[in-house]
Amino acid sequence: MLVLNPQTVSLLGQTIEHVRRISVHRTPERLLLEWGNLGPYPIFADVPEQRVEIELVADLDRGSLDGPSPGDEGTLSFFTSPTAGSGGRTKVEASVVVTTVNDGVEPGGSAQRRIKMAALSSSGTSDPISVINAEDGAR
Amino acid sequence: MPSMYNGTALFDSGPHRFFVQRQGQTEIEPAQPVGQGQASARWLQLGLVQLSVTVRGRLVAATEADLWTQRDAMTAELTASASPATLDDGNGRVWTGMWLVRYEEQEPVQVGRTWSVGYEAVFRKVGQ
Repeated sequence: MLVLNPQTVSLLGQTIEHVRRISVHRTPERLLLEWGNLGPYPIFADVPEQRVEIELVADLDRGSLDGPSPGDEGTLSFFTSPTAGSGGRTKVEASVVVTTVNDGVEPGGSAQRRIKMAALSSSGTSDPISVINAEDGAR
Repeated sequence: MPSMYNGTALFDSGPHRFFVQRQGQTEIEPAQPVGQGQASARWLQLGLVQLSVTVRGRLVAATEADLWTQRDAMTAELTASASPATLDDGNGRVWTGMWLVRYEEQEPVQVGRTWSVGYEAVFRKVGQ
C-alpha cells in the first residue's frame, strides 16, 4: 500500500503536517517452503509469521525539534480520497510502535522526517491495518 | 496413489518424504579383544539392525480442529497397533510388518493461510 499526500494524518494523538507519503510493507518473518518425494519443486508454502511495517515521510518545518521516539506506542490514522470530495474517501488506521525516526535533507534540498513503525494486531489474527469507509465525512 | 500406513492416508494432507535409516550389523567393541588374528577381531556382531523408515513431513489443515483430527489419527496408531502393518510410500515401495514406534512434532503449530505442523514419524520392522 502506498498513499501519496494523505489527508489529516495523526500519529500518537498528534497531527502531522506536510506528509508526502505513507507506505505499508508486508514481509515474511517465517516462510514455510516444503518439498515432497517426487521432484525438485516445492509443493507447499505458507507464511505463518509476517511483519507489517509502515513508513511515513513528511516535510520538516525549520526548527522541528519535537516528534515521536522509538518505542512510543499509539495509533496512526489518515484519510485518503480519489477526489477533493468525500466520494470514495477512506480512513486507514493502525495500532503502531515507532521503531525509527530519521531527519535529513533530501537531494532536492527539502528537509524530511522518516518515521518507521511496526503495526500491531489486536489478536494476532486480525490484520493490523484497518481500512474504513469514511464517505460520510467522519474524522 | 496416497502414501499410507495401516490402510490410512496419515501423511497426505501435506508434503512428506520417506527415507530409510541405517542398515547393517549391530556391533559392539568388547573391553577385552577376542578372536585375535581375525579380520574383525575387535568387534562382536549381534545381528542385523531393525529396518527403520522415517517419514518427515507437515500435516496441513484448514482449521485447528481438522489439524487435531490428523494429529490424533497419527498418535492413535502409536497405541492402537496391536499388530504390525504395511507402510506404503505411495510411489511403488511397500514395507510390510512395520510398527509406528515414534511420532514427534518438530515445532509449534504454525498458523498462516493454513494450520500446519512439521513432524517426524519413525516406523520399525518387526522381527528383523
